Amino acid sequence: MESLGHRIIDRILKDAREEAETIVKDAQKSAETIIEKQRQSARHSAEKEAHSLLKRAENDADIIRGKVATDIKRRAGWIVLSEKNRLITNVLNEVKKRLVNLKKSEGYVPVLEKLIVDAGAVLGGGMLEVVLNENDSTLVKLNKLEKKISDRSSVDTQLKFSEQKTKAVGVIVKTIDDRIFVDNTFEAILSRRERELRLKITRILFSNVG
Amino acid sequence: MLESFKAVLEKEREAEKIILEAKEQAEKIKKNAQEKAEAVYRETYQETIAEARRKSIEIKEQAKKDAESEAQIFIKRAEKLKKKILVSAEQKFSEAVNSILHEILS
Repeated sequence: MESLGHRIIDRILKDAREEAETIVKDAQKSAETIIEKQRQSARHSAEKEAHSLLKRAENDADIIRGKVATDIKRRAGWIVLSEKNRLITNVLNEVKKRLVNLKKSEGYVPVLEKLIVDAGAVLGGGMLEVVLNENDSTLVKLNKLEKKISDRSSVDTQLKFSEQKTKAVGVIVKTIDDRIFVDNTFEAILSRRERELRLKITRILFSNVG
Repeated sequence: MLESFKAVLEKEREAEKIILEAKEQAEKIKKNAQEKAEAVYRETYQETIAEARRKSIEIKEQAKKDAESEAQIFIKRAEKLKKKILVSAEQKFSEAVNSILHEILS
């Protein structure tokens, strides 16, 4: 009887311990399931936002690709353009140098006379003043130019040297009342015609390259 | 006999206590899990978004890198053309100068 009692007691405690163990294990399993479900739920919820972020990044990447390509093409174009510009400027600088040096040559006086006649004709003849630099005043005879201007403008023309002097090479011709003038100094001619001259230089220098 | 019943009753009470304690422990585990689950949700959400942000940056950086590399061909072409232009300009320099002088002086 005593032995049966012990067995019953042992059994009661053994069963209780087993049940307790199962209860705790189930609870742990349940806890793991809850956490895992939350983890998955978080991933699922975040996926939509993440997908949207990645899609936006792809769109941005397309824009970046286009922008980088445009920038580099522009930079490449600039490399060619700035080199052309440099070479054209070299030609213009040489032209300026030669025009300044022309002063020392025999051909200068006829050129100066032509510039005076051209300016006088543009002004339509009449009473005109010729502005030259200090040295050039002695080189030019105005009376023979008056006729040429008169012929071209069909207006009687009288020229006189202005008291005003220029430091530039070339000539400025102005009406006697000082209201209108034509600046035919080399510097002014180059400046006035720079755009046109640059185009002409471009055609000569680069016609055989792309 | 009575002693034996008493002993059984006592052990049954002990058994009930063991189960009750287990149930309490189980409740505690579940409660902790609930609390932890909220933090896990938050962290997982943030990690997923942070990962997407990292990938976004990578995608954009890679796109820039690829585009720069692909577009280098235009720079190379330009450098080649620059050399051709220089050769041509050197050959035609005098012609250009004389032509412009003629244009201005004639």
